[in-house]
Amino acid sequence: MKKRVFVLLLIALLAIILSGCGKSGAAPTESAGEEAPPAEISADEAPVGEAAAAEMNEWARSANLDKTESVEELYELAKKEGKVVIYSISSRMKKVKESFEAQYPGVTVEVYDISTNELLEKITREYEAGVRTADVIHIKDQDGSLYIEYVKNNILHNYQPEDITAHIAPDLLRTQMPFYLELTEWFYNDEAYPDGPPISSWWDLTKPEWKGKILMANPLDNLSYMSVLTGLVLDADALAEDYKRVFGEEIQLDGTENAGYELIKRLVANDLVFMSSSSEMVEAVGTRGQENPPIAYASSSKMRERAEKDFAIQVVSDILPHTGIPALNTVYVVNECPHPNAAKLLIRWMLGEADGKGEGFVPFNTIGGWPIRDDVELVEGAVPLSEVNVQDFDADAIYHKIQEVNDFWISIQK
Amino acid sequence: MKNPRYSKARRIKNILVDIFTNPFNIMVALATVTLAYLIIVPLIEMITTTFTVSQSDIRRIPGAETGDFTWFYWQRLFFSQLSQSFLYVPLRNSLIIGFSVSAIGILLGSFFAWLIVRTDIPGKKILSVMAIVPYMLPSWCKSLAWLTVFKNERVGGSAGFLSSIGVTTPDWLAYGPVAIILVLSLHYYAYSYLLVSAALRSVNSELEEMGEIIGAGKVRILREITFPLVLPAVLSSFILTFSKSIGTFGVPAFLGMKTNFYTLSTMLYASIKQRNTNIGFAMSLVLILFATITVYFNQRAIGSRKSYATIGGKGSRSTLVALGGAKYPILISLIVFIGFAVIMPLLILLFQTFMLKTGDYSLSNFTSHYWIGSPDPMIFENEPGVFKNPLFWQSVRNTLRLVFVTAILATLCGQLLGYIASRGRGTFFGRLIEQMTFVPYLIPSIAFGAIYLSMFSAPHWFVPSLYGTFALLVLVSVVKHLPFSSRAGVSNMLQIGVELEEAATVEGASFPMRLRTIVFPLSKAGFMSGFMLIFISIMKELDLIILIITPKLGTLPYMAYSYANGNFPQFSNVIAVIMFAIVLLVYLIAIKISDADLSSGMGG
Repeated sequence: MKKRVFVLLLIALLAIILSGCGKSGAAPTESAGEEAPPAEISADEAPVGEAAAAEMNEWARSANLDKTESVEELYELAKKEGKVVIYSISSRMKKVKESFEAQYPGVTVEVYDISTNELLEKITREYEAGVRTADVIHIKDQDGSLYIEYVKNNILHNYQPEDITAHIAPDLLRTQMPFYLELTEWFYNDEAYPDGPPISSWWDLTKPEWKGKILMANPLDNLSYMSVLTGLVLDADALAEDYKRVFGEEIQLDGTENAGYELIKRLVANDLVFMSSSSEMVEAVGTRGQENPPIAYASSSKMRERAEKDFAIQVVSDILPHTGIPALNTVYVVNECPHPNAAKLLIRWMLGEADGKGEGFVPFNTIGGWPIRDDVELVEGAVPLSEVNVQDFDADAIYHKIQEVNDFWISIQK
Repeated sequence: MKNPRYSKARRIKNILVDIFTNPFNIMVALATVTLAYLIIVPLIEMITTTFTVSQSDIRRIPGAETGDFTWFYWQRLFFSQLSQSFLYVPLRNSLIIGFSVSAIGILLGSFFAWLIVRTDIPGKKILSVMAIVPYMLPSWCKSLAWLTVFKNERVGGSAGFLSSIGVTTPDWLAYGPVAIILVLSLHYYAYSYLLVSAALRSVNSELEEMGEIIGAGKVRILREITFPLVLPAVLSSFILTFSKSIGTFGVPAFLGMKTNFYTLSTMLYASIKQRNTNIGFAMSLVLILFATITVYFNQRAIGSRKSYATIGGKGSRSTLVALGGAKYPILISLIVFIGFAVIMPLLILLFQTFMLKTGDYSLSNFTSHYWIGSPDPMIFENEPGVFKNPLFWQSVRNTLRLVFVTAILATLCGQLLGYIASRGRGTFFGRLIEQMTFVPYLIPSIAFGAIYLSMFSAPHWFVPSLYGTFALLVLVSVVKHLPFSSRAGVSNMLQIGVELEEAATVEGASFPMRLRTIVFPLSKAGFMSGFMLIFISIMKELDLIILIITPKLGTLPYMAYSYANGNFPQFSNVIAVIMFAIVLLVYLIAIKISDADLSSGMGG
């Protein structure tokens, strides 16, 4: 039986040798599908705002993804294609399918409702395998990787028709075509705190009274939380400023690089409790009859559970310096997809068409979800985005910082 | 040897002709190549990946290009400021869990086995079924049951059962290592139970009687006769339990990640899920290394004693140990134990499926909504009752299809490999095949899934792209279960005398005919038990296929897990209960019609 181990060791040895020699041979096959043609790299430094258009590859230009066509034109072309396939992270996309098919008979929508990680995995794998199933992708760019790894490499394209983008803030259009906004916000129990939020700053959470009572998702398990932390690190100056407001003195860094890292370190020291889903968190916060309820950093869309499940939940919308980076829902057209015109028509429909009145956006206009267009009215009871402190989303900066924050996070765990 | 040249050439020619035309050799060659491709190549790809820069890490490694050779991942894992929390602490936790679970599991399982096989305790039939019931429920479902009972106010919201009746459970009991060890022990003791009871059955009780005649006490007989005889089985169950418990992620994820308690397997899962595959594979290799080391020391410990396992064959009569006055106290404590460890988790899960709101134990809170309710916008985001959910029926179809196809294929392959390994025992290729089939056991399921995903999503050599296909699920499940199925095959084939085949050869039976008329019919019983073991295992499988599953291929465990993760506990419990019911039903049918014995499936 010693032989078994011997053989295993041999295999390991063999493998190491092979890995050494095999690297040059293996590399091209692995990355062939991803790499952009070298000619296009120079387009990286295109002026802001036109970035998406400037980088587009031949296929995207031939599919007129950089043009603004009329709905009638697109409908005619789409009818010839007959259908459009969308991978979406939202179950509400089924409603879009209904309204779209009613509006544009002859074009059917095939919806796949998949979670973020799986969607990314699926589209990457399919793309590498040369399979083109999806035409449209609806996902969140949580850490800029969709822009840097997919859009820049021409795997996904931003489709930004001018009649619609005219109603969207240019800041949001730099690296993506936004669809709608969600936030991660601090939830408290308004039965236990009837006089308003018990916190007004991220620094309040580092105080002893919240020890062991702060709920959030584990950032190692949930990319959007790591992105928020990265956003905080990027905005360290504002945090340092706010520290002075809360504690009345300059912040003393305890071996960390800046106020952002210091905040993370002190939060972790305050015994964070991790949960796997936002609904679990708002349940923990909002269950009635609690004397000493916790506080949770959860998805703004859970606000609807206040009515649905009678949870005593409320959000801290004016937290300083801000509630963190938004969860930006984005839409893309897949490179070389089989139904590009129907894809364009569907994206226009999802965004509410030229006048913002199209029914496609209605399912997404909810409490806890915000339209990014200036001409779409908020649903009743929604707090206007202008009254919520939201941090700017800078895909590039987040992308290049997030792993550092990730490493820092790991290094401060017990 | 008058004409050496002539006869030598002829001999060589004859040998060569024999080698290349003997169907057995062709089978060996085919098996070797296939196994190498399905087991060794993925392992090599895994190792290569840890030395290759991935696209998302270009930002971390100055000047690197995708696909370059790098030491980055290994350096980061072993010698960076992160190593402590990335590797060493989780590894320490994994080892603590592995050893504790093995110790508790083996004690529990062996004691159970001894009671049921060797003593005159009443109610053996039902006890022996009860003893393996925990194994039929996915281990992470049990961690949900655990939380239902022990959840305390640390995480707020609805209280656990104990908290709701006023008993405050301390954090260390509700979450973290203690909880993980207990839940896993209550799951994996089934391994030791199965293996040790098989070994005990094969021990001739005459040996023990002899001890009694010389005047040895019961404890002494246990210590000096019975124990040494079952030691090989105990050590095998140690390998199984240890490598399973350091490799599994469900239970440590549910009970540990909330309090930041990481094991190498949860760290590995987090990395792979965040698409940091390279470092994830490096962690897997560390786990594989530790599992290999354990196996190595284990083999050394068993050494030549392994042959004891079948000493004397099955005794023609076996006298049971009389427990005497201790009989009923032991029976009662056994029943209490089964009540807590086996029945209670099940009842808790079942009970919860009827509770409209978790944590509210009043009668008005009872509902059948989660089983048969129509969608209600006020209850869990319009999610229909399980039986009204088309996704559920799709998952049932997928699961049954996967389970039957895989179990049959894996068992068939296992029997064939068993045939090769047993007939080729002592030859180089026989050993090679036996050893190769064991390798998947050492690779953590989730990493195995990940490497298959990356290998077979794009066309790989002569295999077309399998991404999103049912075939990939089957392939990965079959290969991962080869260690089980082939061991079952080996033990099964060893029982079939070679003489039978030789006799047939003399009569002029061809190779396929021999397989068809002698080997297969005789191996039916072993086939069934191997089948059952794989059936149960795949029915619950999550770690292995979680990365490979696409929306259309969802299985029941996956659906239950998604519900549990999305905080739809009742729905998740409904599915867990249904899964359990299916497994139990199939198991009962199988023992009824074929006397299938799970333990022989484990290759005792």
